[in-house]
Amino acid sequence: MAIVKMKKMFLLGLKDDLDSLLGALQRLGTVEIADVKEEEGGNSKITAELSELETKLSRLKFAIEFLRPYAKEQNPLIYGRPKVSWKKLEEILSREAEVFKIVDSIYRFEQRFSRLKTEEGRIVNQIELIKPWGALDIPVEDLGTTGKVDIKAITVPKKNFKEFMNKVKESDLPLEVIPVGESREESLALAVYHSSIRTEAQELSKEFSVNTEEFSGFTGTPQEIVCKLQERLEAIESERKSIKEEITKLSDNLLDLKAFYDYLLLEKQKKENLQKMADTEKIFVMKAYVPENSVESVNSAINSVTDTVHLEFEDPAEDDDIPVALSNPRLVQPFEIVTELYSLPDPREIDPNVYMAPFYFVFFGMMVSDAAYGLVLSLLSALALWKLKLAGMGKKLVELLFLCGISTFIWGIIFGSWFGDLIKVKPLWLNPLDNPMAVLYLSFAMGLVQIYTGIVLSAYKDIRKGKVADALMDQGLWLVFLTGLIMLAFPGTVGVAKYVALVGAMGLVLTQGRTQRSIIKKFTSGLLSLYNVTSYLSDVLSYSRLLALGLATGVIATVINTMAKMLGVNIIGYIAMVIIMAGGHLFNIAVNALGAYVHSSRLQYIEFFGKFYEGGGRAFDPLRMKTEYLDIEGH
Amino acid sequence: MEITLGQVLALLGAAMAVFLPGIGSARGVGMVGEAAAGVVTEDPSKFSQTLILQALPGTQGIYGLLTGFVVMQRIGLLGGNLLPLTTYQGLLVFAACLPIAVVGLLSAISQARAAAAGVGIVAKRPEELAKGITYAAMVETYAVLALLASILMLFGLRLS
Amino acid sequence: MPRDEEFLYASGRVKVLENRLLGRSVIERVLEAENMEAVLRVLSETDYAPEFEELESVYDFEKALENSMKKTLNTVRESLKDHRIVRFFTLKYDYHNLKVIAKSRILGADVPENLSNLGEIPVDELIKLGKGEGDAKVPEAMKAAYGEAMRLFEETQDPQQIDLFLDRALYEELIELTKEIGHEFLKDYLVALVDLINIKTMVRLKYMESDLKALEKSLLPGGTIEQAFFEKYFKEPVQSLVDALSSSRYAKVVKEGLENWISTGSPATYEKLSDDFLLGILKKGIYKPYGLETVAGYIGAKENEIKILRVLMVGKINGISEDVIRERLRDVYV
Repeated sequence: MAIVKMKKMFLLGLKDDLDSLLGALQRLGTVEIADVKEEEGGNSKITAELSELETKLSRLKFAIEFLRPYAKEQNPLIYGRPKVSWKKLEEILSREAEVFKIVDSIYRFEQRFSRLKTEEGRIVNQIELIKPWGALDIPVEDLGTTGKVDIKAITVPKKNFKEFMNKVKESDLPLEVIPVGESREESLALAVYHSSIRTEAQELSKEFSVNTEEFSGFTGTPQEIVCKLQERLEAIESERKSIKEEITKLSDNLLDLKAFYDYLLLEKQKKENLQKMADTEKIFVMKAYVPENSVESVNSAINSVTDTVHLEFEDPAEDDDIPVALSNPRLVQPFEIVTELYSLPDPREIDPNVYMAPFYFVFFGMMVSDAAYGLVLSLLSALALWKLKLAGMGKKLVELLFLCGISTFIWGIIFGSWFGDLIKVKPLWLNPLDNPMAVLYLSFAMGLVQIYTGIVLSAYKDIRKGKVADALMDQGLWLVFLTGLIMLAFPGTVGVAKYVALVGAMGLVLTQGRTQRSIIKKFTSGLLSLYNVTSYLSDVLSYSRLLALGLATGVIATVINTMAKMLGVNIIGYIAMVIIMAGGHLFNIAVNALGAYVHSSRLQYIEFFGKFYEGGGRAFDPLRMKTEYLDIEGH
Repeated sequence: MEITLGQVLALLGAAMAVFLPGIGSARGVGMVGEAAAGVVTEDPSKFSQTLILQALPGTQGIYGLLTGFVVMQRIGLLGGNLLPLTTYQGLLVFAACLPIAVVGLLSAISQARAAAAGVGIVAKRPEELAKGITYAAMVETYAVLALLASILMLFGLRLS
Repeated sequence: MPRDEEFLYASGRVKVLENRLLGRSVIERVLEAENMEAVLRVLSETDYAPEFEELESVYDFEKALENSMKKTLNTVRESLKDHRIVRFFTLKYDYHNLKVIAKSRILGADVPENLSNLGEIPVDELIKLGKGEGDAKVPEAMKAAYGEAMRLFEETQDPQQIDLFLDRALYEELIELTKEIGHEFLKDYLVALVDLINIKTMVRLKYMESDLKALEKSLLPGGTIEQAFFEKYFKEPVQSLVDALSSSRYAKVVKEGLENWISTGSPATYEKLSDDFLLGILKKGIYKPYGLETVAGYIGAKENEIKILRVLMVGKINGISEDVIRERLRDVYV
């Protein structure tokens, strides 16, 4: 019931109609086309078209992402996605050349940016290199050899410099070294010597790791060079600014680009589905899955395109890979997210959501269990639902929080907790801090209810498959045995309980080994199966977290209140008190809501689903208008 | 007022219940945080998902504080009338604090390992976040059970 | 031994970066590309885009690959406190440079070509060492190795001695390094690396009809297979080596690789298989949520990816057919 019944559709038609048929189905959005191609790869013409589409798409995407920071976009979370009509879209499509011209120019801008960046990096390095030479007041083109004299700009490692200068002073060579300045690791100097001692000078250079600075490619004094370079840096900056202005002008076209992108994306999806069909020269065959209730609309959509088709609907066969779509009451829908995060049901299985939702609802509330916290949660979620344009998983999650907030509110009233002990209200039932054991028993009881539900669902699954005997022997006998054990705990029923438990246990011992061959093995594995009672025990104990997490919320709320109240001695204290309370309680809500989400999910996944649920379904993914940026309206 | 050995033992128990799981949680949250920071350095969009995983090993510290608080309330420290506990009463309170103190410390670190591995899942397949959370939450069960044991013992003790 | 927790941050980063390693489909697309332009178009959609954008000519692709590797090494280095793990992978580049310098000195060339910028010792300092300047900032171990290698050359006038000696020095230092780091994963990897190289060396020398002395000099230290083992099988046919190793962990590599070598006379299959084997060791890192394995595995995978790209590019530039290139390709990590 809750898993939508699917029909298998076969469509035989003319290839000429194929494109318009796919277009109609895409707009309808309820048909998932299955792959009937046997060999890998597929039509090379389509493959080529697809890769062309991919190239266009990736170019457009690049341009869109590049332009985005320059455009004023409305946040889609608040305003929803922009809408575009087909008419407008057709108008944009007619300007394809223009649109791709914009893309090209964006690529050029990007290239200019990266070139400027490279140049900037180079210049910054050069400035760093030349700046220390600022005190040198001869043009660098005058360095080198002039007549009989060599003039060289040299760098000496700082640690060698003193020794180097001493050596120069001591020697009686016609050599003069004039210190000019210092860079980070080297001392800079001007060396002037007679050309005749070049060899000696080289020797000296080698000894002290002296290098010559060439300044190749520059003219003027170092100071002038730095000035020029800095001017260039400024020019780069202003060029960048002007490019940015030009880009900003282009950003008006962002919507066109997005529309074009989305259109191509839809085309691509159609093309991909084309590859799934079997065809001859003129005719194609399509196999698809359609939800039973949209068979009619599919029928009319196809007939509105063409008459020359043969259409057939039938029930899926045993080995068909049926996709899964869920259809649940509005109130249960938010809880689907819990199952979806685990695994979708198998198409031939039961949908657990209806059974799981009430438990999740109750458990979440019990773990947070504060009326005021519940109100805050629900109000915030309601605000988000009202103000934000949410869709998909995000929407379901917020709706889930809204519902769980209500449950939290109810449990808060039952336990009399409003911001912990801040507002004293008499509990409807009791305060768990006064009598934790009572709440612990309640937790176990609720756990038992869920475990029983799980066992019953498992039996139902067997019965649906026609295995009534298995259901009676496996799940039925366990129910009897467990019930007997539970009754043992109550003094009033102990007398009967013994017999009930005994009957259950006997039955289990006799039946659980029925797949074994020899009698001894039948008996031993039957006996051993009783050991499973420990797993039921640990399952029940696991529900004690309902109490523990509930207590945690309450006690921490009390801690926050106590700390805050200690401050309330003067006006500043009161302000601090309010701040601590607000912050503390918000923190507590966040931590406990996360904890409650995690732990009630876990109770479903391990304790509940473990009893009957297999999962492993594949989500129904019909051909539809799946766009990235815009919503396309109308036909 | 005279201070009894029982009072000292009870407070020692409360202190242990707070600081041991606190250490565990601090280390655990730190570990997951490091792995998360690594992921976010390369892919900032994963921030909120990794943050959830980082929060998971933090609960043990909260459980510890909670137990410590229950002790303080039970021995009358918060009301201002510290009960004149006997040595045996003090030992009882101390013993009641042990489950959450020890299990809290160790489970926080184990949980952090699972959560840090969960961060790896998020890095590769963000859509599988729920599975990463579930793996880490499996570890927390034992901290919850220990908390429950500690609290039930504390509520069960007759101290006055 | 370094604890796994020390690698949390780096592992987190690496897990994201692993997603950006080239998948099989990208490699396949490069393989199918018609010309270099098409190759560059495919790569421009990957993590290699910035490196290739700066290229002035496709023939400089080597530079782009090197820069990409450099970026990876820097990323890993800056996310680890203990840089020795990265050093394990970069040491070979320094020794490569050392070899280049030594040879260029023999040839009398002034500025050596083919220097790698992936090493951690500044190239300038190595050049200084080559020029014989005493104050070059090069670690003592490398300085000593260089000196010894040059001395050997003076003695024998055989440039191959330099290669042999520096290779040995490299592996000695690697052994030292893995001992210092003290992590089984790296040790295990190094052992396998040495063993596989030694097997190859032995077979090659055997086909070259070298003598025992040459073998002794060429075998690298640090493997699990003893030198005596190699000396024993050096005199016997290759097939008996295959049989002798049939119960070792290298059985598959040795059997397929060496038998192919025997029949075709080319070590290509053996080389491919041993690379696959080593990559297999590194691949274990992918299953570990965090730890040294994760990080080392990633660096290894990146190195492998660069090797693959190099094969692809060289093949494409020289117009080698798709099938031949495919044959030469290694496993892809992800």
